Amino acid sequence: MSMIVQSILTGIIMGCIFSLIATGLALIWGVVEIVNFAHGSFMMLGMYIAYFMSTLLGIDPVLSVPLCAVVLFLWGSASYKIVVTRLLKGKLLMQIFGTFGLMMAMDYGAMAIWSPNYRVLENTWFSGSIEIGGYYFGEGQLIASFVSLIVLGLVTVFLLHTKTGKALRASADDKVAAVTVGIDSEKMYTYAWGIGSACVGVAGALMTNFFYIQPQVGMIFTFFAFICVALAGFGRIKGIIVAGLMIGVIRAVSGFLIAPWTKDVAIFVIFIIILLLRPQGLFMGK
Amino acid sequence: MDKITLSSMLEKSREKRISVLLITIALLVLAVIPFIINNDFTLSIFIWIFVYIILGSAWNLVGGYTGQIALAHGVFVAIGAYSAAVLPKYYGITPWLAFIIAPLIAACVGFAISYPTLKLKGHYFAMTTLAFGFVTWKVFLHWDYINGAAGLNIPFKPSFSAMIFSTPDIMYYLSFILAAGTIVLFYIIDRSKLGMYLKSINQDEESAENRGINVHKYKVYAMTLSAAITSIGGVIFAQYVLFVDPNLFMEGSLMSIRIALIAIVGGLGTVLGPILGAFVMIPLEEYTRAFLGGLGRGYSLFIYGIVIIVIAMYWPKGLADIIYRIEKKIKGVYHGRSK
Repeated sequence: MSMIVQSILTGIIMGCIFSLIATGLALIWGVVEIVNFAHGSFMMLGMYIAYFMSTLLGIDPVLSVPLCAVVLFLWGSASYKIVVTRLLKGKLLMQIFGTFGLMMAMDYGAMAIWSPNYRVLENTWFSGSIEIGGYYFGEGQLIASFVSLIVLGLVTVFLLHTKTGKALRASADDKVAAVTVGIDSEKMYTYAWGIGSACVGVAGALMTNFFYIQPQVGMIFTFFAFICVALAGFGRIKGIIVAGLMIGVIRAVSGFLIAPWTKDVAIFVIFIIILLLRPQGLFMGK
Repeated sequence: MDKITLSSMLEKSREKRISVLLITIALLVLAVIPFIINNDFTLSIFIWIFVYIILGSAWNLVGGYTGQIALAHGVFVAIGAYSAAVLPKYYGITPWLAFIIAPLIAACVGFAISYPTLKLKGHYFAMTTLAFGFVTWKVFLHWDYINGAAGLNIPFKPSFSAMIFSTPDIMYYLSFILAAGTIVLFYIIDRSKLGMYLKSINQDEESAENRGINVHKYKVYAMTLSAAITSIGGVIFAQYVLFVDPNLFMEGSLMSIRIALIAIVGGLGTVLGPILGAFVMIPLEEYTRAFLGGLGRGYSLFIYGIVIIVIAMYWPKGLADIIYRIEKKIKGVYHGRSK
């Protein structure tokens, strides 16, 4: 029994990180109306940055977080400017295919440069585990979920209380109206891609404390992020956090109850069932 | 716009005669190739082209005609291939029966995966099929019944009932006939009511719905049929390679992407597209693999990714579009002279 509680708690902690990844995707999806299939690859990039900062310069992954945010912001906005603007003029099919190509180019480019080998960071500041009330937690996971929540808070404040944030939300709600009141939609799209990518890059940097680093690590996180957003519906960071926690818990518990490899299968099956029953998402009205 | 006059009818029949002539010549050339070429590598490229014509045409029904990106066709190929491998191994049944059983299983799976997701916007279908491919890969890797990650060997004992032949030319003809059959089937679908419905769904879903077409039903129908036909390509795959493992079909969704890319490079929503795509892509891939293979897998797949981005950005209509444009120009010149 206590093992189940343990896996639920572990799941909740992982769920916070999923929420951050999903928020990045939701921002891009909501504002630009395109699903970035390369989302997980952006995370992979963040992981490699943190990895090399640590191994080459001895800078701890937690300290690499701001750098990852900046680099991924630039990478995300550049991807938007170079590739996505053009894709948006085409059909949905080519939009999906285009960001999918971006994913392949990034993943296999990383494989060509850094080899397909799995890498692990050791001896970081947060690499041990601690006991709280009879339950054990990885320090890396704890600090990652803690920082994720802080970043989520910052993003929320930014969206609710700054001028740019309000403009972003306005573009997400109603594009035509946003343009008529003088919001530069092109600029908003670039911001959305930048900030969305920065979110997932931060998550990547934080995860290097306890997760392996490999060129194709990202794809499964793209699924998680997509499932979170699909379950939560748009424009609701609260909903995304709940969905993220749910996915974290389902993963951990099914991995414990059935077999470790069934984690991702269980999430997929539950996702399909929810799609059948409530195609509009769990927390949307109607 | 064209008035139906005697001369225009004659022109039409003349055009038809020309295209029938061209097709006959192409078929004859392809039919005698095994007599001319004794090189096994070249023959194998042709066999792969035929297999991918089947797969690409099947994908085209969902991706091209209906406009829904399916990224799990590798799974349906795997269903076909594993059926061919499992039937003789565990039940002593001839793999020929896999041509019936595999499409049935694949159709059920295709229906189950598309029914809930095709009600929603295109993203859902694309992402869910991608995730489905990933999850199925994981399941296959851990499934003891089909020997998990180690895969299944098909013992090389040439006989008709085992669908294994001592020389590759019989496989060549088998895949050739199946590919030709697939093309004929899609030619018929292209001109049928079903084809028209699917095209109008692709063009404008809402107006198709308004005209009384049950959009969801036809999308699911297309996906189910497409899955069934794809599994037939899988049967050939297994009987030719004589080995199946989960990575062949589902690792990184690479096979699903290759299938989609063949239809896209060739030209979406046309019968000609996947044929052109397969004839261009497969030799190109085989030779670049021989050429870039030394650099490691990352490089060639990186280039693949870049190619996909460039096609999506600048060239979404594919090769068939060029052919049609040339055809139009020729016709234009022809009509110009006759008037």
